[in-house]
Amino acid sequence: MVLSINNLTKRYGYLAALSGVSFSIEKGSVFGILGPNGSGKTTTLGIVLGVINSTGGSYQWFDNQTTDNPRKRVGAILETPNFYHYLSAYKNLQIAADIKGVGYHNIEGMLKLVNLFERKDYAFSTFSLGMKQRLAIASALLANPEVLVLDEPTNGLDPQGIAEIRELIIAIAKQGKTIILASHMLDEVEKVCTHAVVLQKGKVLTSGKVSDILGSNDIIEIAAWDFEKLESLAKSHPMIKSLIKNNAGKLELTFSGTVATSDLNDYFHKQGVSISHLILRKKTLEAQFLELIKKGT
Amino acid sequence: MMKLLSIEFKKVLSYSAFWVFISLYAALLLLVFLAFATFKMPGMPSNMPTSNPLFIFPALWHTLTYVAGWFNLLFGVLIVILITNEFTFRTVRQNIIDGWSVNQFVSAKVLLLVFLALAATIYVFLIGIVYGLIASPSKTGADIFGQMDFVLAYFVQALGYFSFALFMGTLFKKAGMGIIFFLLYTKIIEFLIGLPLPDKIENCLPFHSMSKLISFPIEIPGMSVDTSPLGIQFGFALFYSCLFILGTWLLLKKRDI
Repeated sequence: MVLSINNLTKRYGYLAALSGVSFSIEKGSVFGILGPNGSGKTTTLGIVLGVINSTGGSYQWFDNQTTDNPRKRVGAILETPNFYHYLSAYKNLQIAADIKGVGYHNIEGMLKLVNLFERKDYAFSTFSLGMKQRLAIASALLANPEVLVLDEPTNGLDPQGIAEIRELIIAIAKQGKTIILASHMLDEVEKVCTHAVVLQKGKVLTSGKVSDILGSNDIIEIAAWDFEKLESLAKSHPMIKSLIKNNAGKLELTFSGTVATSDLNDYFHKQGVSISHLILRKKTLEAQFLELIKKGT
Repeated sequence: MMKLLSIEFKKVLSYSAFWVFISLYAALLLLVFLAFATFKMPGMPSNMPTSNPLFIFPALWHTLTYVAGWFNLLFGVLIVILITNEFTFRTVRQNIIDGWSVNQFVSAKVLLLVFLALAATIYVFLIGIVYGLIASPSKTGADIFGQMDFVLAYFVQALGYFSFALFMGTLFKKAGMGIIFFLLYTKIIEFLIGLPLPDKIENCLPFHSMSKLISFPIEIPGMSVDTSPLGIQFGFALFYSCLFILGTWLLLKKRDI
């Protein structure tokens, strides 16, 4: 395991920012920490990165197999890009390299990777938000870390910047690095993550493979003239999972497992019901997410 | 250890405010000292740079370090700014995330303070030795080095002020508040605290004891001038320096960064 978190708790006075959060992250996975603002993503990362004191619980980097400070094997951005405003991009990265205990040979390559090489001698304070964010990623990658922790890496970026960062993350993941990505953007997590945990109000709602959490819950919407018979037949379908009558007077069905629409049509036809309306709808991630959160409250 | 210090140098050497404060300290101290040393009452003989015993060996060391003590505040303000920068830029957080421990962060800052105090002391020493050799009629070893322990006292005093500045900056995190409370405490609050206290206890307060380290160099009726700093005052100043550094460490340890 790259990181195991065990029953982590953080209280600010009476407010519980985290209550008993546990999950673990396997080597090589792209792990998403998903949740609305204020759900405890940054608090969790702050604790495992050593800048927030937990009230209870524990965490372990690399199964405690490291003698030196494990953070030196991790590259991380927490919330905002933090640099000395008056120093140039290059000098800021020198300081990061010094603290990590690595040489300066990687700095130019990293600046080129994030497209900041031409601006390397400009002060950090002259950078746009996107450039600051990219410099933070360069800094996190500087020591060739085994694990990359990114907290809302696309926050405040324009669509092009978001796409750039996303491609960068996917490229880094392909090198076999473990990536921990906190985000409130569902599609961000869906597009890049293999595993995820969903947090809400400091508790774990669900965790596992992204395909399982946000996965193939398709909705099939049907209607027929003989609505009552349709409903009772649908209820007795061997794989039926849920059945909702929606505002448009149609039935929304979900199944455990995949059910082809043609098979479903056959099923009703054989029982003497002609389907007048049949649509396969991919459940949107947002809907999925909101549903998860509703269940949590 | 050198590694930590070299990282601190990287942080400050390209910082323009750092050089502004250092230059101000260097220029003001030199100018003020020279102004006092060469000030002549009308009608005084003008054949010598000065005949005032306060500005020749050995008493020169006492006078010079006393004057230099005024400028500790300038350095203190710089140190408040340097430490509060780490909070406003959130670089203290990044330093820790990048792999420093709180101990390393505090050690690096303390090393910088010691270095700055040492640099200031060497500067004071250089002013003293150059001016003294020009101005003093007697250049025997005993005269030159006679009261040089005041230079050591200056180092310890500077360290005390600087570590208090470090503590204030860490406590308030914002440069404005840090500077205001640093100046308020050293100049006013401690004076007010001392008022109702008996002299013996008053003299144990941090900045009372640090100012006792280099006492007022001019003789006033009824009081004799110390010709060397008192050992017990060294103890006080070092004790308070350690206390302020410990306070800084505790704040960073206990607080979310």
